[in-house]
Amino acid sequence: MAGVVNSDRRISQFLTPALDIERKDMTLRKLGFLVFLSAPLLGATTGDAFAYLDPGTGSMILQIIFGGVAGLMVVGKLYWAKFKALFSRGSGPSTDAEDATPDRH
Amino acid sequence: MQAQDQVQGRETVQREGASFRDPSGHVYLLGDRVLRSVSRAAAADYEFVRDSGLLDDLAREGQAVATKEVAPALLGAAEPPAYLLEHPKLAYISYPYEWSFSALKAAALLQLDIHLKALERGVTLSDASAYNIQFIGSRPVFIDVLSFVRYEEGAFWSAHRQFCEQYLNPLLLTARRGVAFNAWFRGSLEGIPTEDLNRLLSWRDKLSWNVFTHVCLQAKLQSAAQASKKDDLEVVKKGRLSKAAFRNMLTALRQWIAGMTPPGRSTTWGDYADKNSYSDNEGAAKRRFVADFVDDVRPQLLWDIGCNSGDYSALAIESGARQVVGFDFDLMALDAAFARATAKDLPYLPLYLDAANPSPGQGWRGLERKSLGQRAKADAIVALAFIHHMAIGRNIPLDDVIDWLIGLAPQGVIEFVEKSDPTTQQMLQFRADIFDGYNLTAFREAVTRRAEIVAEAVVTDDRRRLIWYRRKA
Repeated sequence: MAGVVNSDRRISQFLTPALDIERKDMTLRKLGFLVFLSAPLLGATTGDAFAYLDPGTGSMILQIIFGGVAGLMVVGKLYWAKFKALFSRGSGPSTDAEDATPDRH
Repeated sequence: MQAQDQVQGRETVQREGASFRDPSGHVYLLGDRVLRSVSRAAAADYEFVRDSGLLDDLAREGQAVATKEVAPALLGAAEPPAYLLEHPKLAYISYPYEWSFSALKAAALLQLDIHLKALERGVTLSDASAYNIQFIGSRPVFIDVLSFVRYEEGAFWSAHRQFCEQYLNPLLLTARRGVAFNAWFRGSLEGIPTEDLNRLLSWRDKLSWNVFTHVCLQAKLQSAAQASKKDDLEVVKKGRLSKAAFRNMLTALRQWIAGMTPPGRSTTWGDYADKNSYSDNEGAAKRRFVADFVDDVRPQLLWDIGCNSGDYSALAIESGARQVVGFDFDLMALDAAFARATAKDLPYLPLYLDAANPSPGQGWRGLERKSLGQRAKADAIVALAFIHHMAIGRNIPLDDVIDWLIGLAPQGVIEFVEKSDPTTQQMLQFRADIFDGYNLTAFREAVTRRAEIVAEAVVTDDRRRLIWYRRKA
């Protein structure tokens, strides 16, 4: 998991452009910021299971962002369910868990 | 990449020209049989997918071709593959650049549906090639069972970019900009690049969250990544997409694409048929002639050249044609024809064709995608209200047009439209009549040079004439 620590340090570099003496170019900074948006999801590695197709870096970063948005929605729904539970009696915690299922629209 | 031939009994095993990119297996033709090898490296994935029950489920639902295992020795190779699979042979192979908007949309929805189904069983798709979808009638079916691989929790959708280029972007080009994707797709076999589409969409198009993310943002991220150092991109490789987010992505794309329609195009063939009704005497005489012809010939595969919205294709099916492939230049009519075929579940596939420039053999070594003539041969053709579009509309000598048509199938019906006909008059309205050789005598001579005339009928005041030809041996 050394690679993960390494990547987290890189992200923090992008977030402190003023202190960055090397002055990374703008595009990279923007890229770093977008990856940062989904930083909570960077915890695990999946290996190079990309088979014979080049997935395209743009698509991969986009998916990290999608993952981030979906992740935020899950968290949001979870807190919303807990918030509602404060004001309603009788609805058990299992119902709340169901409300928080991300792929129910 | 030369197709390697091996003699097996009296028949020859031939490798399919398009089957070389994926090392997990190849497609071979043995006479009329379609075989697919599974390499030793891909065997574990194949076993996992097979044992998950996905292949059987998809075949039962008609979403994928049926697959059965046969003896690997059948291939006659020195080193037999881990598995050898057999699929039923399809009546006709078509390519996405020949599809109408509705056909590409139906294929895109199937691709997403199959992927969602696969994920439920712990399986994912290693690619999203539109060439992996074929049509049985107007029903799309998935043909490449080796695209299914074991899903690893957190893995990216590695084929997202390919899905965009081969399905989403062409559909968006038509739905948002009103531009047909066919010519671009034919020239760019991998589809329409996201960066190119991004330049064409208006800011108003980009206000849509879906367009913004899948097109605009993806294009920007791609160019940002290209401008970055390799080491800095290592962080991307460590990213992951949760299964829930993956499913959300597929579901959202499905919902979005399901709602797409080309601007100003009627979505039901009924609307179209009403505006172009053939209920008059001319239609009745024509219908009788075509029905008698098809009933007599009983073709396995009939081509309707200039099929319009499919009136005569449907008639041919009613009269005994097993399969009809229709061709037309009018994409709006093709969408209407596709809707008709779907609504009535007809064994009918309407395809885009500019007869003056039909699909060539192209791709790697010019063998990857076959030309129109290299694919299945028709048993019969019907070419109604067609030849004047070629001979007068496109300046192709009448004799050449007849030569091409009669070369397509041993029997057929061809309609001759006189110069005095209003449609021909319209074509000549703003140009000099340089078509001295375009007359009934020349037409009959061109036909009889190559075929015998089995029957002939006059429709509409001698301005239109149908002939039934039978090619000379």
